Amino acid sequence: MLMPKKVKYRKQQRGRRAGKAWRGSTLSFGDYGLKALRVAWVTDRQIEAARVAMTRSIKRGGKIWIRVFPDKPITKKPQETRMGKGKGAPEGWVCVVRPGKILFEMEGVDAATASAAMKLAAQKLPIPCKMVSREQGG
Amino acid sequence: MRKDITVVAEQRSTRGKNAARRTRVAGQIPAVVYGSGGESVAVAVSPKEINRILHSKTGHNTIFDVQVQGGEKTPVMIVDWLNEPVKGNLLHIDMLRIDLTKRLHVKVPVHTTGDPVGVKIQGGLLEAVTREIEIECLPDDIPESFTVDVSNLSIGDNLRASGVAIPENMKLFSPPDTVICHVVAIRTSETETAAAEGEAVEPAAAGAKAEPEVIKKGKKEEEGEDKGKKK
Repeated sequence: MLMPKKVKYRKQQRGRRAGKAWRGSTLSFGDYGLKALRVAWVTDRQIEAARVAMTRSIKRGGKIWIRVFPDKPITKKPQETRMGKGKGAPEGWVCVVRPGKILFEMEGVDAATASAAMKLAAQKLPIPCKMVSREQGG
Repeated sequence: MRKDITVVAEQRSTRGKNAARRTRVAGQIPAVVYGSGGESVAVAVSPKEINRILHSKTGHNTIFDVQVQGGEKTPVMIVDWLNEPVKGNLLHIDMLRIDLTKRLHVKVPVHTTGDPVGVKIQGGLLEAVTREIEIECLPDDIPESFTVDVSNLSIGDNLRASGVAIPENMKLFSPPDTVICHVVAIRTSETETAAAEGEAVEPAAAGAKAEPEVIKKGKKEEEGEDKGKKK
């Protein structure tokens, strides 16, 4: 699972998720990409599930790039705990994905294979996504 | 490459995001024309015409004429453009006035032909590292693209910018050792799956949730405390 090796602080505030992904919204490495259409906190598990789904779908051949990294810790209070007494314990890692962000890129496969793989990956994610390609002007 | 296209532009007197939005709602996009010693002029142009130019074979290297409010036609080139991240609509363009007698630097796409030996026989993957190279040439000599034959590449081989056949009237401006493409070995899905499973097992085996190392404040804090004690 993806997570930072070193952090300055164990816990973070939630922050705001408004706006669009003005950076990281064009294809940089591959010929095909999966673009987020809504805003979400995408967890490390979801990224990993999508990656595994894509890798299994393309079987042999092709290369995948993961363009997002879950570097934001999320905390959770134990069940049946009263409010207060400080912030909960770190529970997992997420990345803040804004509309337009390219989540994954792929190269070395044909459009149909890439489309099928991206469709499977999109099902593992909490937001609607679309496939973009360099031919379309990605 | 020069093309016989004339884009009619209206001069904009207003500035700022509100005026720009109004321009877009009216079916045009804000743009700016500058360069060649002339003043910078804020204009509005039709996104349809610009999209047609950007999606043509010559793409952003197309040299076309822009006519600002019935004035003189000026040869220009699109040097920068901004797309909306979700829908991809064109939001703004920068047009550079071109002096047709002066050499200029442009980025030209590099295409590959042929199936590399490393892909066909050895089962590798051809990966494009750099898709454009920068060259210096006269505006009329800008090529559509360069094509390189990669059929001789086997796994571990690469093709560099110096290996692209560039005509004598042009000069390569990108570093000659820039890798255009290379053939890499593919990690098989079995090893990938095993690696993925291995990664998934690790934290569970450790018992507790893996937490990253926290960078401690260290020396500075101690010094601060010492100073406090001295006082």
